Amino acid sequence: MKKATLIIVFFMSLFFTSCEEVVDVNLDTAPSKLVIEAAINWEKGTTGAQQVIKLTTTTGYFESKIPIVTGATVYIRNSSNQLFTFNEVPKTGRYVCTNFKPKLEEQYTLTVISKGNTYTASETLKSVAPITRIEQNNEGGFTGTDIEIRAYYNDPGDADNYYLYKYLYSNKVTSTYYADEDKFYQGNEFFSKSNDDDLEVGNTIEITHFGISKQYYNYMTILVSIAGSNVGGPFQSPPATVKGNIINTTDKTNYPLGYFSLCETVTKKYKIE
Amino acid sequence: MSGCQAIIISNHKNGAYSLEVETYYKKIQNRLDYIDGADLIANDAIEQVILNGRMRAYGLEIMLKKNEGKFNGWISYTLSKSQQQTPGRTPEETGINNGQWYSSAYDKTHNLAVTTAYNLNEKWSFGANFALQSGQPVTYPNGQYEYLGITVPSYGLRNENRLPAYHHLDVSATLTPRTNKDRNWKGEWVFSIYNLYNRHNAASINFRQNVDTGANEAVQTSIFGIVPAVSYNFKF
Repeated sequence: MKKATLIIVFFMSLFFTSCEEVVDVNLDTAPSKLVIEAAINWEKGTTGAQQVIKLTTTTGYFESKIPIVTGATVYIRNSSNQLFTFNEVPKTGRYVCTNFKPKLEEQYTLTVISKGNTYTASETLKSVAPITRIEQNNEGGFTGTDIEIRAYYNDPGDADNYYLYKYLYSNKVTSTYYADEDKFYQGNEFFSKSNDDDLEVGNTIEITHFGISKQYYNYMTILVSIAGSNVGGPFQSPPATVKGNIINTTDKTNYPLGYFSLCETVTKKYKIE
Repeated sequence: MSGCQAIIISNHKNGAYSLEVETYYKKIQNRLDYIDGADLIANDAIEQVILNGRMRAYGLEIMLKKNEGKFNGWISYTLSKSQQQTPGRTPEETGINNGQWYSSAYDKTHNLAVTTAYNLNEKWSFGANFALQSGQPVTYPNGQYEYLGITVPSYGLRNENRLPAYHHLDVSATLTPRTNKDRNWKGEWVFSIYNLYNRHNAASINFRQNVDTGANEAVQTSIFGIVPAVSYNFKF
């Protein structure tokens, strides 16, 4: 009998060995592309005068460092042609403006000149509904035992709204994003929720809601999908590079990555009780 | 989908050996493919994420058989190509891979199969199979970038890469007891080992960011390693 058990254990173990393993794959690296992170965020109740635009490039998939772009000219104009210049912070790839004037539903145009190419994009600053309350549910998740946090807001009924939720967890390295549209809750109270099975009492969460345009909603939905959780699943998106709203006017085929977005934001911090 | 196919077959037989050579060309219309970045979950307008294209497949198949004797079996080899073309609907749309021909998911350049049997005596016979195939076309990232602190892979054209070659060797021994002769119940024992050298053939390779280290990694999923089996077949 002992022998039979051993044999069964041996055969069972064969089925479970090495289903998934980390392997070495030789990947080609395409010529690097400019990545423009021009995310203008205006936190409710602040002036929004200080804004940062980051310029980086693509790099090999297994590289650990993202290269930065220096020596570029970066500025934004509003619809009345007022100029906001972004000055480079040396050796960081960050370009900072200290006199930006955000205004809801205002149209802005971004210009980036780098290495002989001119990149432009236009976008409108979108508003966001305030977070009214935060609720903690200790019987959330798939198993009914996880801690789940919900941040509620009242969707304005007179417009089609698009939202981006950002959750920054004190127990995780990276923050998570989720894009949402009000199609199914137009004019009603709705919520964003946490997606972290490992939340414990004492952890803190920083919740940010961004008001975004429809185009940016489409962009972020695809970006989040190809960047993370959806990879390898049965509903996997065909892998592809997602293009943003920034155009290279010098050489159209050498398109940049990233996006020029303008959002009003609301941020709330919450400590798990 | 609609298609048409042309085949040329030539067949030679010489004693215990036979040789078959076949070439084919096949065309298929209205072959659908998902657009770049198609999201299928809860999508109520699937027609917006698919594009209509066409497909062509052609190849050469060779099969050498030994039909008689204690030792028999066959070797078959196929050299083939299966491609798709999916242009955009308007000149502004890029379609898939800018409307150029690209490998379909079923493309296998080389496909070698060897099947042999050796009948030692009335009691014992042995068999071995070997399969060697080109890996399936897949799309690997050709770069990465960072946006809002998210690490995003960037990709080149679709199906430009291939999974590692797929191969495995299987062996079997069949025992036919002598007691079969005098009864209606005819049974045999088959002892076999699938994937004898425990090759981890990749079913897929996924790319992800390790949640603990933040570094990117490639993860291979393989389904069967070595699988020994004992089976009993009977006729009555």
